[in-house]
Amino acid sequence: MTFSPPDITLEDVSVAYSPGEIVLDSVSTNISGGQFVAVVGRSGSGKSSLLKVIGNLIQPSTGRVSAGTQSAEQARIKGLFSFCFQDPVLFGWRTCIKNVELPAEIMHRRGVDALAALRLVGLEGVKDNYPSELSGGMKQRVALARALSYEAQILILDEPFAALDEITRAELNRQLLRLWTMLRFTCIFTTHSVTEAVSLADRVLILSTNKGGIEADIKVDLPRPRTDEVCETPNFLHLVRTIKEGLNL
Amino acid sequence: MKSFFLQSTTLLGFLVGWQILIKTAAISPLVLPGPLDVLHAVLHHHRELINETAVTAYEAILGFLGSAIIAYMIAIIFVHVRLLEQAMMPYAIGLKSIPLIALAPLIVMWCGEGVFSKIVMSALVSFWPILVGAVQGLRAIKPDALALMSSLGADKWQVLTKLRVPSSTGYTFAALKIASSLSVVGAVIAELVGSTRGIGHLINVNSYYLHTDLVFAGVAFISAVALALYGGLSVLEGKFRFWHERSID
Repeated sequence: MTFSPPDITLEDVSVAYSPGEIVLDSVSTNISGGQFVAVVGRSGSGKSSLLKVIGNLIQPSTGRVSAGTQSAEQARIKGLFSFCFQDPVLFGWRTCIKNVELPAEIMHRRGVDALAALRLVGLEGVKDNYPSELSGGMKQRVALARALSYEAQILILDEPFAALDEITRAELNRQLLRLWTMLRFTCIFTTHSVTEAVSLADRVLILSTNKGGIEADIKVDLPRPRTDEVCETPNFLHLVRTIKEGLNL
Repeated sequence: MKSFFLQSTTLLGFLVGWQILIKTAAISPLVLPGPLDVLHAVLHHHRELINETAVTAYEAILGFLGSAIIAYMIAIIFVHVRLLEQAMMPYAIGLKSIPLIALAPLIVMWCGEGVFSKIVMSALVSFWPILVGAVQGLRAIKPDALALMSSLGADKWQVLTKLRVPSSTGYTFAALKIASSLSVVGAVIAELVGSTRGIGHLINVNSYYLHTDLVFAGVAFISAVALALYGGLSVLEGKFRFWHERSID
């Protein structure tokens, strides 16, 4: 698997579901290839919309999203983006390996090694099991394998582990971080947890609650790997406090 | 096993109670025959019963299959042409809830006393629940599953075959099972109105001659057909829907 993700550029991107209801209001930012970006914000601040507009699941009302030299739409059609949702959306009638093979099947791609993708998340042992036989954490890992299977360059995760318990969630975060360190795709994810954002990301974008824009863009210059020691340093705690203040918590 | 024992006991108790009632109240078998009289009629007229049951079963199954295929195809069209669904779905739901059985005399007048009018009647009553159930099933998809498909660049055909159809099986089979019983009702009613063959005809003729025991035997035989259809569909459902979740997970 090879990853050389392009930079993503948002220029004055606005999203409005109806004329009066502006979710994002001329957002401009740049996400360089391979970056790990966390997006935090209160409910209704447009986190999901930001992710969807980056991945071209919704069209911006105005402005432009591009990935490298191509438009977001071209990038999506080429399979540069992959999504993970809070719900793993595994198809119950397909075995795990068949679920991981789904993207290749839809894109008519040959030579995609679904088993290797399952191996990445440590689940090659359950390849022939059906999703109903797996725990919530395992389902989410299969969804992660599916997202990584077709060498999408930009992984977009919308509160991927929010429905899981604390322990499973920490474990999956660690696994995600390990895969990111190893493969160097671009990772953009939303979370409600400020500590989670700081412990994972290179950069935290805080969305403002009512204005539909980026309130603050905070660089997380903590050393990697983000061990427990790193997460107890004054620097770490200071960043957490800054972000919480940005969120008016 | 325990519930099977309990249920068999209930049936046996009912039959024994029925027989005792007939004997003690000295009810004429012309009005209400006992279970033993019915059994007697079955043994003496089994050939006739089987032949007429076969005719009704043929009509019901043909009507059911025809309506199932057409209803599912129309459901697929409805799901893709929103305007058509909006214009017609309320009527489908309305027609599902009214006793179309009342049209039997007209159907027989239009389509004749032969097998054809029975097939039409049977199809007419089983069509609407299947259409409504199939539309619900094809629509009952998590938004995230659709977002996943569109992030992979899936076209409408792929969304239909890989997502909508498999996840519609729950609703569809529930509707098919209801419709299978209705299709038998439709065929019998049309026979009662006017026919030369079938269980409805047998019931008509024998109630005229006060062969009440044979009427009951006819009812028992056609009930067996309805139950067999329902059971067959349950088995088929088990094969098609081996995964446990309601829709997808």
